[in-house]
Amino acid sequence: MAKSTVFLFALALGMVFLTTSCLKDSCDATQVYVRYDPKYIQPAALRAKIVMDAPQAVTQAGKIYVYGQYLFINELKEGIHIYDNQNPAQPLNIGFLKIPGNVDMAVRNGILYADSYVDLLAFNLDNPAAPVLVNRLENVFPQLGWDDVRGYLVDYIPSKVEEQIPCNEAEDDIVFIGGGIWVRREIALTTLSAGLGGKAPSTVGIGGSTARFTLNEDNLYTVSDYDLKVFDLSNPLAPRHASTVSIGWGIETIFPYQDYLFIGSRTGMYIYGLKDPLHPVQLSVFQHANACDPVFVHNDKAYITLRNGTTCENFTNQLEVVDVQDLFKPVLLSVHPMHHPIGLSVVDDLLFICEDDQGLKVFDASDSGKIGDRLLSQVKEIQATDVIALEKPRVAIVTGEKGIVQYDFSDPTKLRLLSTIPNGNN
Amino acid sequence: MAFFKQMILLCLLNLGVSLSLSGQPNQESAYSGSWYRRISLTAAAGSSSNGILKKGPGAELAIGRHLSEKIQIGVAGGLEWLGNRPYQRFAPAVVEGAWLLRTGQRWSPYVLGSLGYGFAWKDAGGAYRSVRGGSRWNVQAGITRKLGGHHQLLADFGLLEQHAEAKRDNFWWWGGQDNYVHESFRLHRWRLRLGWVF
Repeated sequence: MAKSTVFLFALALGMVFLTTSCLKDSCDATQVYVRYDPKYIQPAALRAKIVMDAPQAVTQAGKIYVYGQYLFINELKEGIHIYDNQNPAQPLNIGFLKIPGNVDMAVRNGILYADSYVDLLAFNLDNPAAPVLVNRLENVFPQLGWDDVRGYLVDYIPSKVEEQIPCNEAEDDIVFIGGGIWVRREIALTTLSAGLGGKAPSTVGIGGSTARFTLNEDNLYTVSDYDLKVFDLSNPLAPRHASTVSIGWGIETIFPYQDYLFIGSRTGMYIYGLKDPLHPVQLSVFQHANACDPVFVHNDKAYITLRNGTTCENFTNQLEVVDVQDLFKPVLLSVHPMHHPIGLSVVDDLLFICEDDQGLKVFDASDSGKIGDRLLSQVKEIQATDVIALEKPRVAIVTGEKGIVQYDFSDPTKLRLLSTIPNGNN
Repeated sequence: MAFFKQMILLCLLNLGVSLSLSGQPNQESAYSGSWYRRISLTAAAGSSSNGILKKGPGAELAIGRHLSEKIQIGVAGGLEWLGNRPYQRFAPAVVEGAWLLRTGQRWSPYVLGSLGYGFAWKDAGGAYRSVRGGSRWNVQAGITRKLGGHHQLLADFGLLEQHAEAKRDNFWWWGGQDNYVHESFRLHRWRLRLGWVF
């Protein structure tokens, strides 16, 4: 009995293992990816008459800019909301300037300069409630493409796609499955912004640290992903494209300080001299880990925030303080670990850092070696992306998912909420 | 690695509980009410969905109670590899029930079923963002051979179904959070088990 049972058991076992291939796993696979569909615009539509619309709610706030009592809020690729911010506790929405493809702006001597996809526009702001387009420089910014029938290729619209695919179980960790058009998001964007700190007259506005568009003297400087463009504003109503300087890929921000430009890239900070303002010359490069890096320069110190993220290809989250007294030899002074720092601003010895989902933090920056240990206050209840801190009145204007939030920092240890301009989805 | 250590500790704990319970008197003639402990080694084999042979070892600790001479129930846990992918290795935790035939004989056939959950884990790095285990069931038929006292050797064979999920990068060099493949698996394996009951 025993032997026959064992024999039968072994036989059954052998049969089963021989038929192992009959016993298959089953698998369902869903591929999720972002598809970028090209968006075209006809020249006539791009250059249609621009008028000031009635005030509209902010739906997707982009960059912000402060000029005198006015606050400009970019509605991403749609236009600019103009607020009278004389009383930061009650900002007054005075209208929406509908500019196709607008991302950034700067204001000098009552002239608003704004991008519109490939064009640079100049608006007279004598009456901010009714800006008047006074000039358009066509085709000065990089275009993604041109189609004889559909016009300018101006954007790629991302959409999340979920689709069932045949299950192709990986035997290695590297898997190739096609689908969609794969374009890095930042290549598709040609964004511009503005900064503060140059030897500019008082009629120049103030932009955030994530700016790609800045003013210095009689010139407007813009950076795309890979180059620096210089516009001569000696005739403010008729800007002229003066030169283009190739820098290298990964350019993110531009910041003016005295007669220099500090350009943040994903691999380092470039310093350009403006001895000849129309033809900037590279003086030095301060290299750092591969990371996204807004820059703010104050009192011969450059504050650089490095953060990780999908497009930043890095795992560093820190603040670096660099001595830039000798612009040919920037020296790293200190490094402070951070959570996920993005935009920043400095007023006196106060350093404002947007820490993404941890909100806005205010540090005492009087001793660059001890910044990380000297947190004065933190606003935790907002997601913070960029900040403009004004010296007078002492107001910090913060952008984030919630919208535009303004705080009084007369007492930097206790920020006081003044107002919120909510994003449409909040 | 930490997970492995935890699992080993869990197994040792299980073994400790088993040994501590072994001090209870067993009734020679009537199993009803007595405890059993079992240490087993397993081997599983089957094919992945694209037809590639998948096999792997496992180890299991079980503890249970005879409800009657022919029926026993218990719980079991351990580690089991059903292949070489991150979603093919598990730390199962199951409840089991067995029906024993011919309990008075030296050789005694039995059938056993189990139902539970298999926990999966991933190593750091690689293209897999996450793996998740799932429910599992298993039926086995086998035979025991009595040794001295309550000691028995057993061998059984059967079918195992284990559910699992994995999320992996689509293009590994493109790190976008919205670019991935989500897979749901039902793994099927023939399963051989050799064990020692005490």
